[in-house]
Amino acid sequence: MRLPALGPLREDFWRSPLRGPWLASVLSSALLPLIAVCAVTGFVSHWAYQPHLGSNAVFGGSAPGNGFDLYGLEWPTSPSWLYAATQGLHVISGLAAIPILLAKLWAVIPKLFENPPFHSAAHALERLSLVLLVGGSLFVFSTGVINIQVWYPFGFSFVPAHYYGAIVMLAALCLHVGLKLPVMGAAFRQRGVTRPLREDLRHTGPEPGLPGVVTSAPLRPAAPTLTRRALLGGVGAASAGLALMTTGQVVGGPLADLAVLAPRGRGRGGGPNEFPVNKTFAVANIPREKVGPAWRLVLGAGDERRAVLSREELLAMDQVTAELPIACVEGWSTTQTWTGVRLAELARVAGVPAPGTVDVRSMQPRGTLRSVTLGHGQVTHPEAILALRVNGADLSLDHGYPARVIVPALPGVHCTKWVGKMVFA
Amino acid sequence: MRWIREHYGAGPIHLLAVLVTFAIAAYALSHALDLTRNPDRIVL
Repeated sequence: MRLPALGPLREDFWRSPLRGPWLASVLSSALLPLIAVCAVTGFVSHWAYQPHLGSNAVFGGSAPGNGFDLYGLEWPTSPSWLYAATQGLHVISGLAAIPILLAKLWAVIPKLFENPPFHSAAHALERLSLVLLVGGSLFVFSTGVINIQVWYPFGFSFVPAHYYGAIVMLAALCLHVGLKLPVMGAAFRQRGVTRPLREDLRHTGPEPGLPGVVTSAPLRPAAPTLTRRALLGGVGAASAGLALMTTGQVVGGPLADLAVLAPRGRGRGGGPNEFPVNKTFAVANIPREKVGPAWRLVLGAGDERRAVLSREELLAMDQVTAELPIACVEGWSTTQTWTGVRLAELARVAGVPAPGTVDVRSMQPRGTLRSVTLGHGQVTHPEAILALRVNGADLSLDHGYPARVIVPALPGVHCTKWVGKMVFA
Repeated sequence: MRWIREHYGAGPIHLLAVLVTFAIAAYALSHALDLTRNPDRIVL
């Protein structure tokens, strides 16, 4: 059934001669590896939270339906930069994909207004799956960017929405790739993979389309105002530029100055505590007197209280110094020199010489991850510490004074600040 | 096989792949909608 040929449904409405199956295929070829890296590292991040332990699950707990999880496999503690690398890759690949995704949507938008809208049940279902693909992609990428920018205008929880949105997108993407691979092959066979890139403006003609396939190639093309090389060069430059700017906040050093899109990744200065902060002391809303001289660390085993230590008593214990990164889920990371007491030593003081897990509880009155459970390998790692000092100075309030947890390769949100209680099991 | 091609417009594997996609999407959407209704589980 044909719809009235009005507005974008008119055959001559979409006239750019650059659109067509070859352009869509090139953009897809660039987009797919980025989405694959982004998806894998996203699920790796979910694993790194170890949602099967204690209260780590941000949603769903260990009940069925908590999504993909590598139950039984503990998140490793080596190399110490593991989470910084995986989460950095997640954010870099996600941001780098955005210009290519937008270009791809531009390249295929005439197909949204295909007329007739569908010519068989199979075609109708395929088009319905595209709603999931396009809607899922826009949702996942936009919520990811909004989260990085520390802006929460939506009235729902970011983590489960982003996670399940990604599953919708990936399911539809797998179908789309399976259905479109033959079209992609035909487009490359017809025009070559790189041949259209060598055309200057005078020789830039419309794409011919493919026999027997409805494509986005224009039926009544306008004259070109841009070569395909210039279009793809612009998209590639935008993508590479975003990747480079984001890389700065992951690897640090001189590249850190490029991280202009990182609201929490640029808080650097000369002092020992001058490095980025995710949640500040003011935001955590902890009463000031709780972190004063009266502060005590309570060590427990099961329901029993086994020891109560002041900061001075902790400082009098054997101190360990380790250079370790904090890697934030938003993609930035920073490596600092931390000094404190081994978690394994605190377990011994609590009367649990071979701890399986430890529940670390912050003094924050509210917040999703104010209580975090660390696994056996994390508690017993020789560089897993309750840090009291950083870069030779006492921790600042924003960095978790009087004490915070630092463990190799642990996601930043699990490096609990303002620790009040630790319960070993 | 011919019947499904005539009436559906593609082969049975196409139909199976589409149905699997919709099933996975429905599973994910139902969880997302259920979880996002709970305002206590907000913000990291």
